[in-house]
Amino acid sequence: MSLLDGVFDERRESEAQPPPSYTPEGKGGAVLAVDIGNVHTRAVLLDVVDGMYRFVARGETPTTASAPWEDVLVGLYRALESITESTGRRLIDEEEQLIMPERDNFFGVSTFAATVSAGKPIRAILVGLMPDVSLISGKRAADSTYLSLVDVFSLADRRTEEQRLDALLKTDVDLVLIVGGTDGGAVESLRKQIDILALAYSLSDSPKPTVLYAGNADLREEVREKLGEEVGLHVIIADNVRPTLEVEHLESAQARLASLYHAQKARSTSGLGEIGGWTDEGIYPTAHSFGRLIHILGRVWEQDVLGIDVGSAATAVAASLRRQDYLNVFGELGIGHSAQKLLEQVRPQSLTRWLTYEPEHPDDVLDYVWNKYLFPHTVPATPGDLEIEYAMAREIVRNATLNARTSWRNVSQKGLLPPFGTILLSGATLTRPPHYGWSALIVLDALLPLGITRLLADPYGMASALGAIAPSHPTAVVQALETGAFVELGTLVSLSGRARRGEVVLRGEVRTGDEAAPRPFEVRYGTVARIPLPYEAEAEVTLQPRRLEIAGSPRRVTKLRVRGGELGLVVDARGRPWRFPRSSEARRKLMRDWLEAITREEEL
Amino acid sequence: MNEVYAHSRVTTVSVIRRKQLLPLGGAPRVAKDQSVRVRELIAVTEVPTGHRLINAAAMLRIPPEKLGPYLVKQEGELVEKGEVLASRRVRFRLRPLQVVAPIDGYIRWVGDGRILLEGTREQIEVYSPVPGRVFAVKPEEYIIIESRGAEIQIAWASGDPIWGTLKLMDSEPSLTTETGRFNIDHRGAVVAIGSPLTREFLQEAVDIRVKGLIAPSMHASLIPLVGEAGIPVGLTQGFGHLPMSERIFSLLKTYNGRELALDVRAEDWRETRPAIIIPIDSLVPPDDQGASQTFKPGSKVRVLQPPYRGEIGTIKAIPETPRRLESGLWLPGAFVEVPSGETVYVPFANLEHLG
Repeated sequence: MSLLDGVFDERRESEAQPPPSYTPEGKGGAVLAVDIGNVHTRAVLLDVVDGMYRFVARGETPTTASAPWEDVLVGLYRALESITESTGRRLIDEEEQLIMPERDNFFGVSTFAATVSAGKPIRAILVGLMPDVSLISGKRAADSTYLSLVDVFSLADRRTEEQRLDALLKTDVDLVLIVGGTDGGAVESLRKQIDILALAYSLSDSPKPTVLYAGNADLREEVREKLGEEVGLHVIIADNVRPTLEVEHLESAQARLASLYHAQKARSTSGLGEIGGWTDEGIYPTAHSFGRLIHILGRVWEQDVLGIDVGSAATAVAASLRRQDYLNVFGELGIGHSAQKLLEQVRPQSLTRWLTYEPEHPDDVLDYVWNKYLFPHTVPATPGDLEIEYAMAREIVRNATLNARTSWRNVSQKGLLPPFGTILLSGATLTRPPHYGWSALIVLDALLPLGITRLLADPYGMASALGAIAPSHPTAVVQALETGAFVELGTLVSLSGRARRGEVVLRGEVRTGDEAAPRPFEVRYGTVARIPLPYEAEAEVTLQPRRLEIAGSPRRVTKLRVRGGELGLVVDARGRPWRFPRSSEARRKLMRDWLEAITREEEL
Repeated sequence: MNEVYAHSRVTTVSVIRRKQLLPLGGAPRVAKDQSVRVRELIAVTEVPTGHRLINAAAMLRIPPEKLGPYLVKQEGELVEKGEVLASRRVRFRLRPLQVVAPIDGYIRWVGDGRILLEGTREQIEVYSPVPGRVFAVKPEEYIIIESRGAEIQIAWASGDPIWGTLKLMDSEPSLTTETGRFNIDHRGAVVAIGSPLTREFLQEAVDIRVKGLIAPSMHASLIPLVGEAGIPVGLTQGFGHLPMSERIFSLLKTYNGRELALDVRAEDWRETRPAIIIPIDSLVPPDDQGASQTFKPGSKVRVLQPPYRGEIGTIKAIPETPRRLESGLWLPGAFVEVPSGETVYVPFANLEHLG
């Protein structure tokens, strides 16, 4: 009996593509998973060691999708070479093909999976009926992959028919996503939208987009006939995203979008077609696999899990919340390729407020963001630049998560986020800081989490790799998780409410198995405190808040067992919500204090 | 571990290939191997200025399927504004019911009782950014022009591609930009300075009507102003307050007074950078080093981090293990000798390999 029994069944029923055969015991042998991002190409090798799947080796190189190489295989071969160098296992043969199936411990792998986020997002238009019904669902489906919505057509569209026609003819898109109508409901309004599409694309000389139809099931044949047979568009049908007004069904459309993404990328990115040929299922969008893994974690750990992957061009927010799965990809919100787009969502002052110093020139922050956009692969070399980079990260995480929240059902759209049992961070910026205290501080500042949260980091891109192999290798996923696929950062304890600054608001004790007596500690209001714990150790923690409370722990005294980690126990006693002091100098001092408290190295 | 993240070109004499993307439906007007002058027309495309969808059946008060017999003009015919497209006589009315063309154009489609009128077509022209030879043509996608000369790929540019005479104002790179230096000789020229572009200098350049500006850097808050100024601007180093790299300055000094192209790319710059191109008829063999995938001692590099952002240097050594940066990050990198003679440790991620 696998821990994942039942986890995939739910997805499979809804996915339009027939799923790969699922064997509870999984296939044996070495597993290679690669991820081709905008900046890095990563490869991860998992193999059975002492009867358990473990992370064995990884390789990482710059992605070679753009000039002068313009072939992602160039970078991938280098990443695989470095795995060969560290393990002795040969992965590529003389014909530059992946050696598969595995011949023995030194030749090839038995399974290969690939994910990709490199390159520009798919350009798409969304066609639907009601903005607050079908279009919302269509947008949520579109949010599951790297897709840039360049126009939206709906009943609320104030443009004349001619203007809409002109807009369609002038817009060069890869995909038309049509939603709208409930199954068995009225068809006339949607039919009019389809007619205008048919007219526009019958007149258009430009390359024809693919159509994904996920609207009223009664119009499927008509869409195939009008847009497919008569106009010559490639029409793909998915389940209606809104079969009834009350029910939203995104999985089928999301699975189709993932396949379309692969097809589009394979056409436009040299090398991806060949890599796709090595896989059983084609190449998935990185975010899709990341989301899948987060949803699995939610089921396996039986708690609400939030995953945030900040990339150079895009940011993905995946949540498993009250047994509901969500994935939102923000294709133009990233720390490198999309850096300047952040300035469309936040003012430079929103970045400056996170700095511990006053910039020499008022434009320093703006200049950094623009230079990062021009040279997305660069890393901050000075402490000042590092702070700007992490200010950007905070605003990206904050904006992405708040936007993702709008798709979470039965969750308040105002105020604080719901509590999550675990938060998993992915992407180089969040997971490879000079000190992991930075990662925790970004999460605390940007998300204001509530209650008790386990914090994990995924510095090697394991999440998307495990998500990609999960359907064929569920056992490998579970065992890799059990053998430490992620870096354990620690446990965040967030105190809610208000008190006087400097007042003791938490008294507690920690005790690991090696310690004869518990270590007492106290935390004052307005501060962030870190209580280090050995990485592998389990510790008993007793928490006794005063005036403030720990969300989800109604008792006066909370006892819990936590795992040690890079940071140990981190207590955020700044209250919820907290505000910036009005004085710039006071704000900068607080930023310095919090940063120092969370990154200070102390003897255990 | 010593992989190259980005490649760029700062060359004295090299074979330059610039890819000019074509708009939708772009039809080439040149053939492979054909010689082209700068700003020569190399492709055209026509796009309709707009459409009018006329519900003719409703205007004639007939069911949609009965429109055919009442059409005066047929699908594909050219029409002028005010011309009758369809007409129907009605009993007890002196004048017939008529559908007239609201714009000049042609009848693109008739169906469902409606007439779709396409407005006159507007021609979009694509010009060669540099003089040279047509290296490759892919209709509707791109044309590659091959040239020979000096190529300086730069950090950022704004505006339209230009061709003009280079006028270098300064004698050396610096951080101070003096104003009041323009004279009538600068009108219509591409003016280059070795110090950061300022608001005042930009205003003076606009007033004297220069053709374009090349500067090492400027603050990003000037971007909207540059857009409004309407003159192309190229930055060699990036955003901030930085002097021009010695090597680039010296190249511009060498070619002062010659004609150059400031090739501003419309596509994503992270894939193809904007460039200053100075065509040269030279017998000197090109100094292309090719696109290496790894850094080696002796590699020419451009530093992308402060305080040396944009400086061109040479890799002296590559340590085996990562080093700690001032920011606290531990990253693999190289010791780079910068023009001041200093040797600094720079992570590979903050280096561009120069070819």
